[in-house]
Amino acid sequence: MESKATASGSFLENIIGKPVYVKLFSGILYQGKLESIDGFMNVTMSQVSEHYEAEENGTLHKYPSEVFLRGSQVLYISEK
Amino acid sequence: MSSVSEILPLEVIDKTIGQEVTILLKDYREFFGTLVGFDDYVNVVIENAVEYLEDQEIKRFQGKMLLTGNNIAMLIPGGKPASN
Repeated sequence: MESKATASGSFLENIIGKPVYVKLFSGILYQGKLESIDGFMNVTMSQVSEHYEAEENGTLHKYPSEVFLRGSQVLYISEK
Repeated sequence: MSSVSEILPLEVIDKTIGQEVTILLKDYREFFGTLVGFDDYVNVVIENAVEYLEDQEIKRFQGKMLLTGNNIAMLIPGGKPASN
């Protein structure tokens, strides 16, 4: 049980401030700096670029300001 | 109930920690990587993940990934099963 509790918990603590990928269920991939995250997997990111599925498919948008992603739509969060 | 020692479903996943795992989602997306851990919702942390969509590799990741348990349909300890 101990290892389970720390697995997602320590992951969340350690990736704040790092460059990450976040993909939503829609298949849209966001790449940027992780500003904050909570237990619902709500995410705020900065310096965000938006892609469909992978970066190789081109950039859809760039967001100069911070962006909020609702946790219910998040498929994964990955270290870059 | 039964006197035989049961193995709970989550124990199977627990035994897979540190080993390679294939994760199938509800749709045609799959992930392959080394299982780092999981929680009660079966949110999963994997390392060095490879993402597939409809059997096409679409992305490789270095480091750790937190995958939402929401869409996970199946976890297969070990590699990808051979397709016939």
